[in-house]
Amino acid sequence: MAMQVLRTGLTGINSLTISLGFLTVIGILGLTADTATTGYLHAMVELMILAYSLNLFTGLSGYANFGHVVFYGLGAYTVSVVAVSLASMGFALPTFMYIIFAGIFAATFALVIGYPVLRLRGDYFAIATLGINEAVRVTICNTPWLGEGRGIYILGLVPTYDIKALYIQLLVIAFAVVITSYLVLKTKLGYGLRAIKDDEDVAEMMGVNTAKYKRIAYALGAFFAGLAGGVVTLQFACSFPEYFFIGRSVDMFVSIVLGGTGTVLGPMIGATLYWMVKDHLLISFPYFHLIIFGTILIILVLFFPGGIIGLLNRFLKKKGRVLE
Amino acid sequence: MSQENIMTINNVTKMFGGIRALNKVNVEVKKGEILGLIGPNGSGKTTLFNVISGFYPATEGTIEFKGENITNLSPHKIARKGIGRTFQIVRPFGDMTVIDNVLVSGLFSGKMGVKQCRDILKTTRLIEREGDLAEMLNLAEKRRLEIARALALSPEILLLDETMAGLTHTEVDESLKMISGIRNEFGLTIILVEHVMRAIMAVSERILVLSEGTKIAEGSPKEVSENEQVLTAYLGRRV
Repeated sequence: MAMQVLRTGLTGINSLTISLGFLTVIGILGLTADTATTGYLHAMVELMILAYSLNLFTGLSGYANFGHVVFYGLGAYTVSVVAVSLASMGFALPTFMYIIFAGIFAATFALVIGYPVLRLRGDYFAIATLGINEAVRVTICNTPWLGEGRGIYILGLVPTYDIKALYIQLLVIAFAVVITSYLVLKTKLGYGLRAIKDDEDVAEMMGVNTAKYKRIAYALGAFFAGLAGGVVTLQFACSFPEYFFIGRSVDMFVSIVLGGTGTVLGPMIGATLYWMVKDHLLISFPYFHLIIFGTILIILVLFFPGGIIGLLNRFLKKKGRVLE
Repeated sequence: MSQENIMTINNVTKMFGGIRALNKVNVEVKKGEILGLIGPNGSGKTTLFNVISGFYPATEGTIEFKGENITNLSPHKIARKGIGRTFQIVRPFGDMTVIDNVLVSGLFSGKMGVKQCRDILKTTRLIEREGDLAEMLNLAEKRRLEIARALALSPEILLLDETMAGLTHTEVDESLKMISGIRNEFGLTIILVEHVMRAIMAVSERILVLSEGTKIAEGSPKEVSENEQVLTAYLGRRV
């Protein structure tokens, strides 16, 4: 595929620079702060990666994927299965290798499952993605060598609990996913996906191989979600069926809707704000935080469908500039 | 004009369940001509376009394009081979800018970049609106955008599905001028579905009449307009 970066229309503000700058600030903050703060930012960056990975597929193609968390869970289990298998043979790998395995396995799974599932559209697709997530979770819960409901523990098999080292790996993934998002948006792949989002049939008749491009984006999103899942196993030294918790999918979804779907800056703003607000509400209103959050969400979807980026662009466009 | 065939439609039938939308239609399209396609509502004009562009698979029959059988290929492959089309009800990519709309087909046909797409926008008089979202355009502009988008595939055949419906008198005249213009500029073959008789009679070199899925007449605009069967199909039997 030609990796030509296309520039058309209003490109006054470079969203890529802003995103990478913001990530650098969070990175430095996390590496110099105390462990509690690092842990807080670690979880935030993880959510960012997940939001970006969902945005690569759902944000651009418009296919609502409620089961995106399946790739995160599969990534997590890949690390523990690989670590346990290698350890039984007396091997160990550098930690980043396990994470890469996690990404590759998740992406492969997406390529295979994408073949039948991406033939569905709209609500049918959304329901199927929920089904895949449940099917994988239940299969794991009933498979003895995958630890059933207990999970797989890898304590002592790989270096774990080093929050700063893991944070650095998470940051590398975050940088990669932001740059990837920008490149996807600005190249042929992004144009194809945006066309699919607007009108898939017309896109097909304008020369877009829609089946292929949907699969590429689906696998790309799965890859980064898998990487994030890999890190979480290393962080907690185990992988549980709880990693397939559907609430995680909701977290990602809300993040991209809040920030602005299909944009480069949106998932970062969305994930950051979501994480901070959710955390704050949870502490201030332990029993009511979900109600308050739900209300905020409804207001957002009803009045600001373009998210924060969409809202900012309403004003910026009058000045001939636009955030991406 | 050469008399070489660019596309041959052989015995194409399209069934929707028990409804015969196209019944053994045979058409020979000559290279470089403007072929008008008319017929009463529901006679199968748009269905024929959908079968040619691969959106509907043909139930029977074959379509040959430049000697190659393209029947039932996927639509994107047919588009890349050089068959561009517009839609009866305009379907631009509303959330994308005008230039990005055109760029999609330019990129995916692999034949055009940003610069060539801008040139097409100049030809179709949309260059001033390049940066606007497609949904902000008015109907005439949206129809021109659809033509621009099809042109970016650098097609050899252009299928125009009622590009003049709902336009004002002046806009129809401008549109006619543009269609002849692009045919000459790009060396295209054009198949035109139209209900605006004034327009189709003025611009077509040959006209084909469909009625209830069957071809009932073919010939020059004058021949067709005097054909008894055509008059019957449009106006009912003479008493």
